[in-house]
Amino acid sequence: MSDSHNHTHECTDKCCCGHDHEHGHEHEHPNEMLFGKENEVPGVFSHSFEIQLKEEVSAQELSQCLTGWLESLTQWIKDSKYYIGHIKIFAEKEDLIKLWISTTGKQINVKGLEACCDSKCTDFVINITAIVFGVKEKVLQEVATSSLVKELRDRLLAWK
Amino acid sequence: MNLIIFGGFLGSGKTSLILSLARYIIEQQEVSDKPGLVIIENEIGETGIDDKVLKSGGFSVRELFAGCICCTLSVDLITTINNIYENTNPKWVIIECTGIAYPGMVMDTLKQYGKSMESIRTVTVVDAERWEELEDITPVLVETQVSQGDTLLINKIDLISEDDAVKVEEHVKSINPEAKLFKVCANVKISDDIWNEVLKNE
Repeated sequence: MSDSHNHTHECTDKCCCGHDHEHGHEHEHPNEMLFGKENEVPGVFSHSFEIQLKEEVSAQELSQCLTGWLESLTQWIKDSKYYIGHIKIFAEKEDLIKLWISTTGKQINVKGLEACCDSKCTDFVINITAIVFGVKEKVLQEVATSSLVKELRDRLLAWK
Repeated sequence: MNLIIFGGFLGSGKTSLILSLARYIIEQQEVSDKPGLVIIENEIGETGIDDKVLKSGGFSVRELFAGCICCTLSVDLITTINNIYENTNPKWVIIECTGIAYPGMVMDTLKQYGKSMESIRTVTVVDAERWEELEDITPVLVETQVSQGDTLLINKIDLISEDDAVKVEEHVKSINPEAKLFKVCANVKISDDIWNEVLKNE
């Protein structure tokens, strides 16, 4: 996990402060145009995880697990003094389960649970897009992935 | 085709409001062979999230991922629009921009290169809950998005006090005094009057 965020030092090519100096996703606006005072560039982590669990979970349990993941990730971002643009998650198992969970760093919103609350599954796909200001994309990826694995912990059979 | 470009910062509620508007458009359409609506969904990440929300609502959605239609994907946007015109020619096309896009740049591109557009208008969604902090962190982006809206929807009005709502409204009005302005909460039904104003041809 990152240490507290330092805005005051001069960043160089070898800087490992967590600031994203090169944006992995294509967006051509100059920084001044995008972010005015702070000149910060968002890190974007967008990925689909294929998850296999040892035992079935209900949609309710899955929702709780993903909410826990999002809470943990959000807390790390706040502790590191980064800023959340948004984090959106879509979890699905064919037509059985479709869950949307999102946050801007305020409350966490969950949609779709009522339609699939009785459904259960052992494998599913989790799609996530996290757009966070001030953090390197690679750092965001590592933290998001490790916190998901930690959240699933003993239940996890395989993932990619 | 009539185009509506939805802009506004990340997490401001664009997708939820588009869902509401899309339902209204479909409810209003007369029975005919011409499809009522196609939605173009732009996401800066490679993985689609919001397109799945819209598709699960039963709407026709075209995706433009891994870039921003106001700059890197502008060519793809024009190709998609022209393709929609040639194959479907719906009465309405709603375009959801990424949260870091400038809707005015999207409009300029469409006006210059898009085919057969009867009208084109922008709706900017303002996140009332985060407006003050966004003014601090990304003032150029959020103020430009507001200035480029024909209609401004101040969303999440239920999450702030009356006094704060007045402050946000006054500030947004000062940036763009000409725009139509409405205070909304995307979690409850949006008044038909508001959507009528958004859809009205001036």
